[in-house]
Amino acid sequence: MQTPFHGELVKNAGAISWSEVDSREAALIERCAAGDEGACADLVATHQRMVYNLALHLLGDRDEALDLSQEVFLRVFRTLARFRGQSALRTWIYRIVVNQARNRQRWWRRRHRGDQVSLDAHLQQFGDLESKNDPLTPDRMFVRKETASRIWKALEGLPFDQRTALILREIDGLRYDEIAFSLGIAVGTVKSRLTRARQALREELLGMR
Amino acid sequence: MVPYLGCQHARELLQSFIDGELCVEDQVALETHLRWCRTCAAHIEDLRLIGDSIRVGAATARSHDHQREMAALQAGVLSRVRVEHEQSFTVQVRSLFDDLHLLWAGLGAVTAVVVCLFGMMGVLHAAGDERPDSLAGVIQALATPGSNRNPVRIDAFVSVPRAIDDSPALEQIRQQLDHMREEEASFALAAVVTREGRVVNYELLVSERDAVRRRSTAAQAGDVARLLNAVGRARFEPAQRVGGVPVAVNMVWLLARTTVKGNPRAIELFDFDVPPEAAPPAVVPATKPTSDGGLHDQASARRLSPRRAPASA
Repeated sequence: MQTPFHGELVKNAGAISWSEVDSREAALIERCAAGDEGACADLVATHQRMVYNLALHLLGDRDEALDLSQEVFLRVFRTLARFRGQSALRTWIYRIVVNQARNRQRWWRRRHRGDQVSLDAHLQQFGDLESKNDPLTPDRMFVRKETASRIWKALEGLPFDQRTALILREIDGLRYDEIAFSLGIAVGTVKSRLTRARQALREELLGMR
Repeated sequence: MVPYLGCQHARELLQSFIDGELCVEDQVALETHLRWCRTCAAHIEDLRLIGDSIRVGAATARSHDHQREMAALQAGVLSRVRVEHEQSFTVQVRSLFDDLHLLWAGLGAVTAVVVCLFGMMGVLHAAGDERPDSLAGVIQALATPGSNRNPVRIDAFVSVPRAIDDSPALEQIRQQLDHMREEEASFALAAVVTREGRVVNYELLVSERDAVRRRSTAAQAGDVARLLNAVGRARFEPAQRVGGVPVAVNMVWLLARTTVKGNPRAIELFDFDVPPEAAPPAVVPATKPTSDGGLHDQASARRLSPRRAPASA
């Protein structure tokens, strides 16, 4: 079936260089470019959890994260023709998520700050993360939860750029060069942002002791 | 041998160490340092704790079952992409060709528009220049001083137009003036001499008293009308700018019949040698019209005698 994205993407499909893209991703992108709706569904299914989680961590609101995720995928399909394999597809999508989140976060936080669900409230509502093999004692678990709650509260108070760099590093496990590409900055800037963010969180940690 | 690493340098490497971005050499050196330096070891433990806390918080936030959200996300994205595709321009154009009725209607409309455009262009082409009383016409006339629609004044840079003496119209003017009484045979005309030498836009300049006097009889009115008719057919050598370019000029044309009577006493003062036996020349009626624009009766001038002669002025 050749419905969506057929025209322009087909034209540019041959121009993609796959230096940073593995063969499976390259095949998926080519199928998307050829207008295969099934391939598009696969692309969304492969990356939707990653996109949604990053949006959730950056914005802190489920509905907003879901809405942002839709926008991100629409943008991905609109601009897939410009993707030249200069990075992994995942990193390229990260970049779109960060840019969209940055645009949305500025005004959204001002209006909906009171609506955000804190980690404490979330834990009260849904309970803690299930961990069958967790050897921690209840006391240590409590301390760990308390520490995580304070750290996340401090994390939400950080500037957007520092917070994004730290989330991409600690949660998504991106390398420095991948973070640099996702944020559109130099690797040295990534390091300095990570240093400042960790320094601020460490001060919060020292204040707890 | 493992190189020595001081605390200051070690702290610079701590972040890269926990992020796994150190080269092997630095990694070995830092691990050796951490074995004996408790401060740096505590620092790196703090950094690990921060990372763990962030991941624990993130995992807790993600622990909610997102299956429904993910399914909704995928369905929403694909449906929006499909709608965008259906509303895209290329698809709209393609759908036009699916239904040939619309195609023929569209082609007919395009053909009609093209025909109308050609018709309009033909009319505009046939219309030629713009109307002289339109704004564009006025601007065009003002932009070209010396044209027939924008005549100039005669000044030092423009030569005076000369009447062509042997034209039939000029002869007719002379005859009309001869028919009038001398005190009535005097007219002033405001006129334009075109680049081609024609007299256009002429107008009789008369005072109110003269107008009343000249309308007194139908015969006189007829004389004036015939005179003006002849004026309209008169031909001039057009005025020229420096360089010989003909230009249209405004002028006032005086038509008058005058008689110049010679003064014998003045003649004596000039001490002319007049034979006493010579009889005075016959008085020739001075009936030749002249104009200030160079309409000069040379035949009359040739008949001038020192004592008494008709003259033109």
